[in-house]
Amino acid sequence: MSNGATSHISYLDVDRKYKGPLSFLNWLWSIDHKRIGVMYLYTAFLFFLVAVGIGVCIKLEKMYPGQQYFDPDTYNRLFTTHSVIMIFLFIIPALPSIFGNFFLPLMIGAKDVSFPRINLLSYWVYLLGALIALSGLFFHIPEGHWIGGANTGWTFTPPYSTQEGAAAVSTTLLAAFILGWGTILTGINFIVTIHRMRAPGLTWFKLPLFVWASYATSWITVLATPVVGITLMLQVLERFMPIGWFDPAKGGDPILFQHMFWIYSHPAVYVMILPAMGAVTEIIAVFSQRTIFGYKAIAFSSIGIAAVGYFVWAHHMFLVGMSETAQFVFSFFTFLVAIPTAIKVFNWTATLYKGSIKLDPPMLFALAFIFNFSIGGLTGLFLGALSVDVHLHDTDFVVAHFHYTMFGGGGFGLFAAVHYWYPKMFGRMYNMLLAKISFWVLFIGFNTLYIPMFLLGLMGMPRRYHDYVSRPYFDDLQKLSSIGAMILATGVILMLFNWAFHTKRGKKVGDNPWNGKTLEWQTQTPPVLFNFDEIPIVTKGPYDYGDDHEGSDKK
Amino acid sequence: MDKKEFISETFGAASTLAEKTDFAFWFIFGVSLVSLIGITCFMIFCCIRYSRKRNPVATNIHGNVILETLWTVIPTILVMFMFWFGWEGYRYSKVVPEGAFLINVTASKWSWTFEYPRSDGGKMKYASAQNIPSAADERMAGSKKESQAMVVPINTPIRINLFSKDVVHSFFVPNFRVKADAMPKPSIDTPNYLWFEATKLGLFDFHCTEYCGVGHSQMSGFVKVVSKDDFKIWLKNKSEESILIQKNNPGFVIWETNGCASCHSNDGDNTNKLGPSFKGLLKRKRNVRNPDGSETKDIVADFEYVKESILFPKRKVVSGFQNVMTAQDLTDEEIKQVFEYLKTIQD
Repeated sequence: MSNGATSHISYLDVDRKYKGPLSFLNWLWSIDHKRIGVMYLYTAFLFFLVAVGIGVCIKLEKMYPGQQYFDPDTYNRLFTTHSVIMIFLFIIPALPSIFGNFFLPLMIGAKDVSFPRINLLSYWVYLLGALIALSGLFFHIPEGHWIGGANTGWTFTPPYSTQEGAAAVSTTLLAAFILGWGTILTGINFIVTIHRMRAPGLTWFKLPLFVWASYATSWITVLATPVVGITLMLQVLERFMPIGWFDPAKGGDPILFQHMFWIYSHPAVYVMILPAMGAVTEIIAVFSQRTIFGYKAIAFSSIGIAAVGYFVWAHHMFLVGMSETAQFVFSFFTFLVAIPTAIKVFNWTATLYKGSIKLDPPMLFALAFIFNFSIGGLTGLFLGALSVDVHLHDTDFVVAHFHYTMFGGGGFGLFAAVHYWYPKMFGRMYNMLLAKISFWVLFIGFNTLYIPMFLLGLMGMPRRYHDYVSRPYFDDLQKLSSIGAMILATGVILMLFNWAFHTKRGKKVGDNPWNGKTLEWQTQTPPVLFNFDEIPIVTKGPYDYGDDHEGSDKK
Repeated sequence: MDKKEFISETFGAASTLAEKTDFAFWFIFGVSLVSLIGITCFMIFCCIRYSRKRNPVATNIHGNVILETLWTVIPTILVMFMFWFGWEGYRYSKVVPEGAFLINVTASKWSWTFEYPRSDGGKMKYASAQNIPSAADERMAGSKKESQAMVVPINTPIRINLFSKDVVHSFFVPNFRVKADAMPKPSIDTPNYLWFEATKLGLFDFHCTEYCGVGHSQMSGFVKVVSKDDFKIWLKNKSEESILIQKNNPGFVIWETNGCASCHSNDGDNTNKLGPSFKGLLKRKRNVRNPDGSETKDIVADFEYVKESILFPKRKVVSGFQNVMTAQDLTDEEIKQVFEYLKTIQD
């Protein structure tokens, strides 16, 4: 194992001598998993920035009752574009593809993933899908506007979606289909890599928990994505052929679409959150400088969430008029998912106990993850309970709930991961103070934005409303929420600036700035082209801070 | 309206189901709040007590069987209770008591139509109020739009069958804690339904909660809960009125109950309207867009134009308006009646 200050050429600099106008091809053509990860990082956060901007537009429109800046049609396109970018271009690919790609091989002591060329292909497929998705914006342009796009919401619920702007909606559906291929390929790659490429001595229960989470995630992507792929294609075909799968006017069944859509899209929620949980687990152990509490419980709960997550999809459609037996079963399974999730939260907090905690930016984001995700998970209980769901379904409560899990959870987990692994990826450190400031701005903005939406939803404010009935207090909460959106956007800009500015200008760091015990910290920072000078032989667990500390229980 | 009044109006339970739903809600709320506060306080405590300054060397604890069993079993029991309370309330909301009063509610882009049984066995139909600027103002002013509320008697089980003419809509009355999707189906043998028993007099908002396009946020209205006696009188009067209007002005009824009114006004007021007003329709010259994108200028509407616009709304779209109208499935006879009605509102 290479420890200390080694000075081999890092993966960032291997092609230093080929500077020229085409040097970007050294990246675009590279089959190095680390470079692919970095490309995903830049691409995904570019889309994130765009979608945050659109999100702010949505909140500005809702700041006061009545029409402010956008007419209803534009508003509908805005929230559709916001969700399509956030879900398909950002949060689904972000954590698995950025950090899965970069760190999975490093963490298991491998030189690369099993299929490096397929890995590059999946990035290209992602890029192609993204371009097609964005090209949809130039179809279906209404009179007097300069930009169009799909206006169906990301759920594409027929028959509304089959009657609206054919070109734009079909393009978006096609893009989602293509993006699905990218994630399937990545998933297969990771599964094979974890099975076949682990370093000698690295048994399953010595794997870092991020690897376990990635493993569970990969299985979800591989098994669930084909279902949504074929469903979206059926809807595209329905437009251009006289076949009625989903449109009742053609003899189809709109509920069938919703079932097939959510069979994927519910497990997809765990694609968004599981890797974030994995990253947070790593961070909490490292910044507490102690072993994780309940390693096996966390590993198995990842698998448990992935497995049970397949049997809860219909809780997105409790109101369509399903049989009561189906309602009973789906509500029951929904509550079962709560249990492994709760176990994870308890294990993380227990890991803090008697640790040696340092509140560096990654840890702040990880703790905020636990807080936000707890709110997201607990409000999920309201929506899982049938009678309460009837009241809250399709209101702002739901919007707040899934933003707490996807953004407060998945997003903050991702930000924590970037702050944690940034020095490893670039060999340099961002500005600590600015990172802490941007954390607090983000945290305050996020909660100011979404807590009022819980209350609005309880009062009966439906989601996807361009305009709302003016009432005292209603208006105040909407305004508060919009102000939160602006604070949040400020935080995002600060944070992204901090990262972008310091990739080449930041202070250089040593090989192991956080004193991590997992394998990726046991090699040079930033890593060499093939990760390790020699493949390490693993004898210790991933969070082995030694049992020789004073007062430790010798287990 | 003072604060207390407002809160009871927006959160306030106003149906028998609402009490059950709220019980489940507060149970989950209590458990969640305690858990959240517990987790947060513990995290903060650890960050302070076990900071690197105070506790430079960590203690490695790999697990604790008793603790882990406890925090698996206790949440399991709690969520099972949540599940059961939710299920019980839901079952209550799905078993309609015998003899419930039936109202058929039909959604279309972007309006609601209510159909009541008349005492003589016929049907009485009218459309919901459109484009409500402010529920609070309406309540205080008691303006004419209140007459287009869905009127129901207090302490009486009401069953609502939900239909949709075009896309999926959803009927939601926050104070009653009821909501169900209105599904479009080729043949509606088992429509989706909900039932409630109102326990408070007054006006309550309802909303469309399934995204349905540009007019989605305008699909709101009122439920008006009245005493049983008032309801009988109202139903009788409204029935007589509807028979009379139907006889004298069938075109008006079609305009109102087919959702035309949600986008086309009959008084020239275009506030919040997606289509051109019907007032003066037969006199105005207008420019229209053809399907191939070309424009035809200075068309004056005649019967053929009106008929084409009802049956094939995408063929001629008046400039300045969006191509969003759904084709209306009216018979020739009905179109003639509409045309007769249009003639009466030209000045």
